[in-house]
Amino acid sequence: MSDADLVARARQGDPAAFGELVDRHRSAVYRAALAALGSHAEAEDAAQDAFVLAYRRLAGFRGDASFKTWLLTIAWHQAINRRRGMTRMIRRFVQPQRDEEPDAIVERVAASGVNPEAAAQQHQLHRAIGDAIRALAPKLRDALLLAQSGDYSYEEIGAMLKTPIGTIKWRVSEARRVVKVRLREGGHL
Amino acid sequence: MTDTHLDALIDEAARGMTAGEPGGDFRARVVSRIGARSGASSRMWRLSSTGVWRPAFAGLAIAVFVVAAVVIQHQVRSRVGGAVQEVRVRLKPDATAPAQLALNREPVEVRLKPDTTRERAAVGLAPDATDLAPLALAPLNVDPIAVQQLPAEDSIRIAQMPPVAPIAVAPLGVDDQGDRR
Repeated sequence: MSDADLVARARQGDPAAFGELVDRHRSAVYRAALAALGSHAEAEDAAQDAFVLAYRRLAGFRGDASFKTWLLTIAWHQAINRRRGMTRMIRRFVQPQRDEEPDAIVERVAASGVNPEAAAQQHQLHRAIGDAIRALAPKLRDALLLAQSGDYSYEEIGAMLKTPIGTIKWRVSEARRVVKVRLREGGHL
Repeated sequence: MTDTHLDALIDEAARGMTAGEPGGDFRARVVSRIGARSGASSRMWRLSSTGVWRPAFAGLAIAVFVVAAVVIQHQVRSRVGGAVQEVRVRLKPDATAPAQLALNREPVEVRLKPDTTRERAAVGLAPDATDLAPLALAPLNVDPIAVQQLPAEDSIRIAQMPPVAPIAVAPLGVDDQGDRR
């Protein structure tokens, strides 16, 4: 059954049909919220809000775009509204990053059979890349994370960010360039 | 490390930052939230469709009507009071009105009344000095002052004092002891 059929049934008051739509798109909605918020708990709340809001606005869905694009647009707005809240921003920066346990790193390196020194360097590089991505300007970071998540086409990203596809592609490329510059400046390359 | 390899690492890190799945009961939670909302709205719909609201609505409508009537009456009264005050203001003489009337009228010949103040002066309110009779002063009848001569008294007799005997004064001297005597 297509999304359009499920939407039609959900409009007629079939909750199971909308539940099926939730199952189909929950990962995409959740990851978009995670890209915007950087917190799993916040992303889960934002994703739920997005589905509830979409259900309430279902009568206004005209079908100009796909249901997924329409849903992702709602989800992105919900996530950005959350991100704008000062308290959430503070919580996000204050929240300690969940570093991998040292024992787990040792076990993983031992299991992989690679040189422990090389593995430690690679781990540091991964960490530095993550820090550099988090330090990007929001526009560059959003474009990079959404493009690399693998869940969205450039058209869908453009609809979410209300930005032309060419601009999205440039932002992704620029984000990579800035990350590399910062890695070189940090002595990681 | 090549640029392509670095790009691949960046993309992998970005993918890792958005990796994850919502909780297992995600669908159930969303559906329950939707059900709670639609349940509330359907309860409202059921209430309205059964007609239970009609007596309450009728009472509310009556109350609104009464309040509106009181408010309108109060406003009408205040407006009438304001109109009366306005009329009172208009009753006051308008200084500009005579000027407008004079401009609109044809020229009118005005006859001034004779000045009666001159006639009053001629009658005697302000008499001329030449018309007065000379003032006649009647002589005063005052008796002359009579001065009586004082009777001559006897001269003061002063008894002659007896002659005073001369005072004998002994000259001062110093004795053998050196004391003054």
